[in-house]
Amino acid sequence: MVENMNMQSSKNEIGGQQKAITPKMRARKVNVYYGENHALKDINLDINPNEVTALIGPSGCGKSTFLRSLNRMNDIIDICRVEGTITLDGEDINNKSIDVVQLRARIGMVFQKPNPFPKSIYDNIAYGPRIHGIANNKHELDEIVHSSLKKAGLWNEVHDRLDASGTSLSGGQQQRLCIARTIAIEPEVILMDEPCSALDPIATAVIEELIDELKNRYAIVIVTHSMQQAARISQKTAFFHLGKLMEHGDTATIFTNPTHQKTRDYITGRYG
Amino acid sequence: MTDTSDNDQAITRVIWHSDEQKNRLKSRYRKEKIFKFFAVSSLAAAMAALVVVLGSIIITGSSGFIETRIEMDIFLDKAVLGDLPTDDRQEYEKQVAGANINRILVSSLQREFPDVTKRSDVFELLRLFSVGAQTDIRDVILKDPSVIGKTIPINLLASSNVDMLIKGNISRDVAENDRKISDQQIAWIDKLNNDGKVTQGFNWSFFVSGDSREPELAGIWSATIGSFLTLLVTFLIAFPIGVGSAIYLEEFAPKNRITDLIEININNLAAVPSIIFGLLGLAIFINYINLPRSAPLVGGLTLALMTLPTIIITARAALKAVPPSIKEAAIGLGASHMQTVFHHVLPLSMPGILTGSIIGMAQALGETAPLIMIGMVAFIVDTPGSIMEASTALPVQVYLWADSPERGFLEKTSAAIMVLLAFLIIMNGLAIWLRQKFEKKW
Amino acid sequence: MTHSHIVSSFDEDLNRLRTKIVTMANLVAKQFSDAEKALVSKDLKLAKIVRENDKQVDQLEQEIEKSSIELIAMRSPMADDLREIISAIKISNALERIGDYAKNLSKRVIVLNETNKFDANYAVLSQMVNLINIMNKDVIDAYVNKSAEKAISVWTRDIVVDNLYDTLFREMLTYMMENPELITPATHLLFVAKNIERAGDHLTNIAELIYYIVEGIPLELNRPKGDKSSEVNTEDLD
Repeated sequence: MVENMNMQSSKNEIGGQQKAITPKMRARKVNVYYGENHALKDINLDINPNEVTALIGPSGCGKSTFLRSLNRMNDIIDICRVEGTITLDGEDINNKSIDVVQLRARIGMVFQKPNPFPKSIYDNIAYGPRIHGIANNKHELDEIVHSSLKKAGLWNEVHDRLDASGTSLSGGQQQRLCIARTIAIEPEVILMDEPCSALDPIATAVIEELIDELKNRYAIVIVTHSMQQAARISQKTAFFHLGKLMEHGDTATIFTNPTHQKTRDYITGRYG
Repeated sequence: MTDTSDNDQAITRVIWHSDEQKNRLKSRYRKEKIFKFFAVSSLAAAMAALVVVLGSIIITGSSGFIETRIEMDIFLDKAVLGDLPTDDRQEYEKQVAGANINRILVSSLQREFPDVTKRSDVFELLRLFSVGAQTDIRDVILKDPSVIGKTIPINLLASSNVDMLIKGNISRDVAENDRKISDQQIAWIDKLNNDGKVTQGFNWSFFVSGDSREPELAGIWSATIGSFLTLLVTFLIAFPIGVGSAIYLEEFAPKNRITDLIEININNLAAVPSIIFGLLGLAIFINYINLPRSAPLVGGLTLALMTLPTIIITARAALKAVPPSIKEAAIGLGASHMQTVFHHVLPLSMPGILTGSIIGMAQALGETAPLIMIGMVAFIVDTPGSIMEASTALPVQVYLWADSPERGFLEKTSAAIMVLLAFLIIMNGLAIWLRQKFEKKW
Repeated sequence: MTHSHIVSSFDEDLNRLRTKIVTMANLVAKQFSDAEKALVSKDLKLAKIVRENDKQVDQLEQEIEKSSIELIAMRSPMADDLREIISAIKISNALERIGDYAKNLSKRVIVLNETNKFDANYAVLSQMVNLINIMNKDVIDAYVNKSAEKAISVWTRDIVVDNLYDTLFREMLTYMMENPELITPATHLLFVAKNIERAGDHLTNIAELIYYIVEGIPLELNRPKGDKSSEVNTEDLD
């Protein structure tokens, strides 16, 4: 099973030729416990650069837990314990030599509910660069804010009101603001935890288009409850069930011909 | 899915317009009405109690802001005052302070009432006026030296008994021995009143003078300053410590038994009677550390101890109310825990923390028992110049006056309560204003 | 093996679609046997009925396409559901083609009736039609039971039809060489045989689709081919 998966994830067919891709992140034998609760069991998964990896599965299957293990967001939960190795560019992220603050800057995160700071649009985006000392002066900071907003496709809508509060925007705009805020610190990987669950279909489509564009620069991991969304935007799909990674492979394969019965039942909407 | 047929059987069709349903509806509305009735009537009872309390205080207290004065022609006799050095101001003030104003007043009174000759009658006549009347005369002399040697009308402060008589608080129907003012005195007053000499005016001195044995001279200024200094100390001690502990407990403290124990004890402290804090302050700050008795510093420290639990609890609630999504956003951007707390959580919870603190302060402002324990209950006339000087506080002043036998202190007590209430309303209003102004939507 | 959908009306919709496919397959099988009967017994009336009944086949095809498109639009089917619905469209297309062949057969009954000179042996033709109808029945059986094995069995059986066609082809060529007057009826009979053989090809296509529905991957074995008529040269016949 593991071998098979490696075959799928480490090879990518381009023009009929198989080209080896080094995964951006690798999870090996990852186990996560919440106190007594064994939330994730022996997860092996590769995250490739310039690809969208969708994590799907029923509620409580551990997909969000896995996502949060990738940037050590689980650290802030006292009873949470992570075992196994997760590497970013070959470095173990749980290693003591890795600074968690810097790690989270390298692996950005967008959350389920749009959560802009109750500050101005400008300050929302400038916050990350400020605390990491990315900009040397006001001019550079302006430049970062502008380009982040442009990359997030929000510039045209807000360029004349950067002083307005981030919370005054619509839900979809807020989520794009959160994405802009994340890419302002130039992460390498972007984690998204159901980023469209609170948005209407049009706002969702705009975000999906944005994700599709962003994958040219970043590795993206997205948790979603919408199978259609996973099918639309991801190149790889991983199906979690009861804390186990049931199946992982090309999205096209997963959604037309899943191997595992559980996957099939889940994506076709059957009793499992 | 297979048991749909069973479900269908289980559902008995409801007939919505049956009598049974109508009765059910009726009883439902009846219950609502009964609940509403009880709610409204308890609210009305509370309002009535408030109106009665406030009303009685306002009715008794409002006259406390009024003073009675009697205009007298005073002959500022050069022979009595002596040769005052008008060109040297300092020396002039010193000599005026030492001058026998009492004699000036007595001789002026005798001139007004020539038939009063008996020594005891003169004394009775003098008692129509407050001891503060001498100050009035002295002020006139100090203000303008040119009046010396002339006879000029001066509005003199009447004694509390006269004040009470004019306000109708002393009844003329009571037997002479049972009232504080004699028939003779009443006759004089009536004569003066008929001459239009007796006037009533706003009692400014109530706000600018300190405590006094004489009700007509007593004011709340020194108590207000005492309260202010005490609260200042309380705020400076309790706010940083309280907010700091709240942040630590809420954000950084490891979740273990010791933290739980501390939490429970803080909650318990909030329920400890305030007099216990007074005893604590007495034992620690005065008996052990030897800080000055009756000083706002000690009062402030004691009240700070009492207010700390309130501030910690409200600050923790405010910190907890900050949505975790904001924290996650900051942490997700790579902010450290400290940065997250001080850049986002604390600013967002500030309105709540301030509101809680102000309410805690208001509680401290109204607190009497601990201040009595640490000696701020003493009779102190002087306005404190620093937190180390002996002082009293507004609620203690109320307590003191309420305890005084003089009839004149009754209205002063209520007037002081009104001032205290005004301060409390202002503070609570400030809390509401802060909350509404800085509350952020997320 | 397969669980029912949480949304039960999805299952109902799918079942309706399956029923329509089965109905259509049965109708096509009946068309074929009727056409064969009309041919053998020179029954012009029956032939006419077959031609008219073809409209029903077309009607069913349209209904299946419509239901399939609606299911895709409204249920967003995934995995095997998606494969089944897409295959339903393709199966109905194949069945419609088979229906057309039956119609074509019945059309030729008139001409063959007029050219009475030729008293051909219809036994081989009847055998072919019989085989086709058995394949039809089995393929629908495979469809209903989602059985890959049954689908493969149908798929491999086409070679028998092909061989029969090959035999008939040679026979007709021989007839035509011996007696040029028989060219007209023999040509028509050749087309009849060709049509039956094509119907067999379509049935193997359906079998492949069923295999795809069940297994999720295309059937990639090399199918045995029995039709060698394309290589037959009149000079080789002797």
